Amino acid sequence: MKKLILIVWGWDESVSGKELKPWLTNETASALWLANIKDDIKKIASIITSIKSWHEYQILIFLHETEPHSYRRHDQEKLYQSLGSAAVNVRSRLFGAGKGSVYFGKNCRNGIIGMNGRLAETYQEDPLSDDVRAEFILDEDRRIISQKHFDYVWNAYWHQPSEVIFRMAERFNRQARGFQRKENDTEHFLGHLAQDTTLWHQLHSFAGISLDGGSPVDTAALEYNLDAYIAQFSESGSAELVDELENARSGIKNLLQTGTFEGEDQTKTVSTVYNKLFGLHDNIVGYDPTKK
Amino acid sequence: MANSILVFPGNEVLRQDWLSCFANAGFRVQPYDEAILKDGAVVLMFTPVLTVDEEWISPEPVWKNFLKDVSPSAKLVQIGYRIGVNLPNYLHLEKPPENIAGFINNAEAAVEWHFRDTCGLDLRDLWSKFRDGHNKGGFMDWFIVAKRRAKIALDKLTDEHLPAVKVLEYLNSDPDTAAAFENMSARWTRYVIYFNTGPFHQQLKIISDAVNRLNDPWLITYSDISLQTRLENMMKDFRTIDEVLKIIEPWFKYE
Repeated sequence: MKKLILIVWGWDESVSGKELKPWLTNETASALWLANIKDDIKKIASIITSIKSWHEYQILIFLHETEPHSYRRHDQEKLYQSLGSAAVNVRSRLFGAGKGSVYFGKNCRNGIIGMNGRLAETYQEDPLSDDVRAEFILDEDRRIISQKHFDYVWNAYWHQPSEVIFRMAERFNRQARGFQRKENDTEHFLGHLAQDTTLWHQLHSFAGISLDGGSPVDTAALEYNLDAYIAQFSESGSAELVDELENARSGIKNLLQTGTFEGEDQTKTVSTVYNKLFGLHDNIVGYDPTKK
Repeated sequence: MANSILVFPGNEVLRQDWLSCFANAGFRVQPYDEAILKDGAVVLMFTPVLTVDEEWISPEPVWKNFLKDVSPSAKLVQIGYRIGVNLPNYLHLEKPPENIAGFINNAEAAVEWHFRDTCGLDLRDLWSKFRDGHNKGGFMDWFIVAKRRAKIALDKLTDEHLPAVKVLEYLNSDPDTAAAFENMSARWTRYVIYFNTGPFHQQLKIISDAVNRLNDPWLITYSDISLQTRLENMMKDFRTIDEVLKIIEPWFKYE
């Protein structure tokens, strides 16, 4: 699938264009759009839907979380809702304060965002040294950018399985820990979990099952579906992580259907689920694809 | 020895088996309140903490820094489901220990506390982002601009004896001035949500109240308050914010 990155930041108009125009890589299957929109998720969604053949892209949207844009996580959910079923191919990330590998600088020489509303151009290691130039803008007139930088940022941000697992594990912990389990209390226990609707949708997405009545999960929970991560680790050759992911998926499916993860004593279910998820999280964080 | 268990966050509801465990050992369980924190207190921490904007925050290092200062013999106890945590101040949520009093007695005081990394956003990193930002967008950048403009305006009134209408023209003439006040307020409003996962809420409230007063429609003079009084009050609020920030900043330091 083709890839599109949209970065919502304080861009200089000479870079974003008075009327928005993309920057393309030589491979042309990758497009970079830049927009300077404050506090208006619907406008961001309409930029996406106005792009020709946008359904054919995987779309990674960066929302600037500091002033004056101040986007938050609930804005990401609104964005997914605005895009409807097509949100399955959309991921949104918050960024800001110069942190993260989307920024070009001393800590990341393959970033995209530069300084003062510009794309990656130069930075200075220290006051006495020469500028380090980014090889990012290849042809300013024709708006051609480096595939290497594009791919670097894409790979750093598109898949974030450890983040997804951490967030679901902690949400589960937070909701489940106040429930005193007794014998034959599965229905009550699951009902208690369902009171946190965000968690409920995340668990179902993770397990790869629809909600009761066959309803689909919220678009914001689509990223919790494991198919993409299983494919990612299959491709990189990590059979162990693939097994762990599939076991975790099977365990959560079991939890939603029987009230236990793998048939353990019910009083130990919350601990079992939490530790299985966190063990998986730790293994993903520690995974180094260069060591096979 | 302490007989109060202060629970943080304060809206956490403990399971009955834990409440009974503490009660049977003679402990009174209360929500955490800085006002009742005494040396030797025990704080039971459910971390990471989920904020209203859906971020998970790990505030432990800031708690340690604060308590080392104000209550060095207080004890911070983490409670959770992680197995294999070999730390003296970690309680496993699955089941209360048989001898909770012994556990608390043997727990490390804040000054020597070793805690489990709960993998949320580090509150110290959030302080750095808040304060310094990126490319002159930190709280202190906006604060300095806003304070300088207000001071110059006050000097024009009191030293140069310009009429109020001229001073208002001066304040209105630069759109960056309004932006400085708005961004200062927006930045504080955003980050105080995270700082409230720390232990020092009284100081945060002082700053919040001062920021809110500064962000009143500041270009409008109220009929019963002269522009000079308004500007003098603003300078007091700037000084207050400066002083309290200096007090709390050391608690965000890295070891």
